[in-house]
Amino acid sequence: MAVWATQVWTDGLLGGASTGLLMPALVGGLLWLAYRGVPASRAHTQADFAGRHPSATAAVGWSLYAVGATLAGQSADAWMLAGLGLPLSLYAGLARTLGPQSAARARFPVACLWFALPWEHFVRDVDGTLQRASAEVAYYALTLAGYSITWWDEVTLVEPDYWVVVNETCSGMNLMLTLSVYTLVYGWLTQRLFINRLWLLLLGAPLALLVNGLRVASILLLGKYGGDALAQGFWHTGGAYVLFMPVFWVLYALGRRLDARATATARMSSAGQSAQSP
Amino acid sequence: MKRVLTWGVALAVLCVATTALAGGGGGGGPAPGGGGGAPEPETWALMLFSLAPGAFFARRALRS
Repeated sequence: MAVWATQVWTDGLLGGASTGLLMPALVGGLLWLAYRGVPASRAHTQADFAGRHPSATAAVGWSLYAVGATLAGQSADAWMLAGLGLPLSLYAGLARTLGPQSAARARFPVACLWFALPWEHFVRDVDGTLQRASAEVAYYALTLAGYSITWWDEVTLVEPDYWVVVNETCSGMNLMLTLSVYTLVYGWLTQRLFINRLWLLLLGAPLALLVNGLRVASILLLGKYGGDALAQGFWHTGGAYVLFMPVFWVLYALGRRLDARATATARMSSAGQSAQSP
Repeated sequence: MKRVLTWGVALAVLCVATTALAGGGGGGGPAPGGGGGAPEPETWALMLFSLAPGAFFARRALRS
């Protein structure tokens, strides 16, 4: 499996190997936060079915691994199936050693290990769609700002003085993957209700597309007004970080609003129960 | 927490500086003024970069 993953990562365009190496470190940090009781929700301290039945969980995990390893003889990509079983087996091992209650705290961090798998190998076909969507966002942003933009092809925007092509390495996949992990972790830390975490997660993809479209538009404007040197210089990638900053604030503001609503609903519910009791 | 934030900001600056050196290429194309691709930063750099604002906003949200 390690050989297959290394091959996929080496062939990959999207930096999956670095994510695979970074994710275990991130999981270590999340485990530290989980056992310090930092997450807002208390749900992560409650034992679940998988933790109460570690043998069954381990059986599912190892079965996935065995099936994946067997099928890998025909198609190497089946190692992905084997990889999906490893976090399950790890969780089962923790539940058996620490007990279901204590292992429950590690549920989310261990689940994050799935992000260490080379997903980009399987979502490469999505790249074309993302490229076109990012180009569309950039086109509309520039047109709304009053620029005259024409299409060279479905992913190349042309302005009389400069052009930008949204190729595979510009699709927004990296931004989307990062924002997905961010919203998952941020929601886990700050939101009391599962539904609120889901809202934040769902917002990740459109926000990533919007940021990438604006990034492409900004590179075209940098080229138009500052020339090729400026467009391909520091701000070429630096712009992505600058445009990323407001997204964190948007997620924070929305998260606060969602959590405040959940708290108000819980208070009203408990006040109603108090009024009904004799 | 101060130490975490300091490390986060330091790593973010390092990421920006490192990835900025790996800019995309230009080349011939449809407009006479020049042009090129718009490669996005690597996922690991974006993830490290998001640590600092993530820690900041999560801390604020948990305190409120």
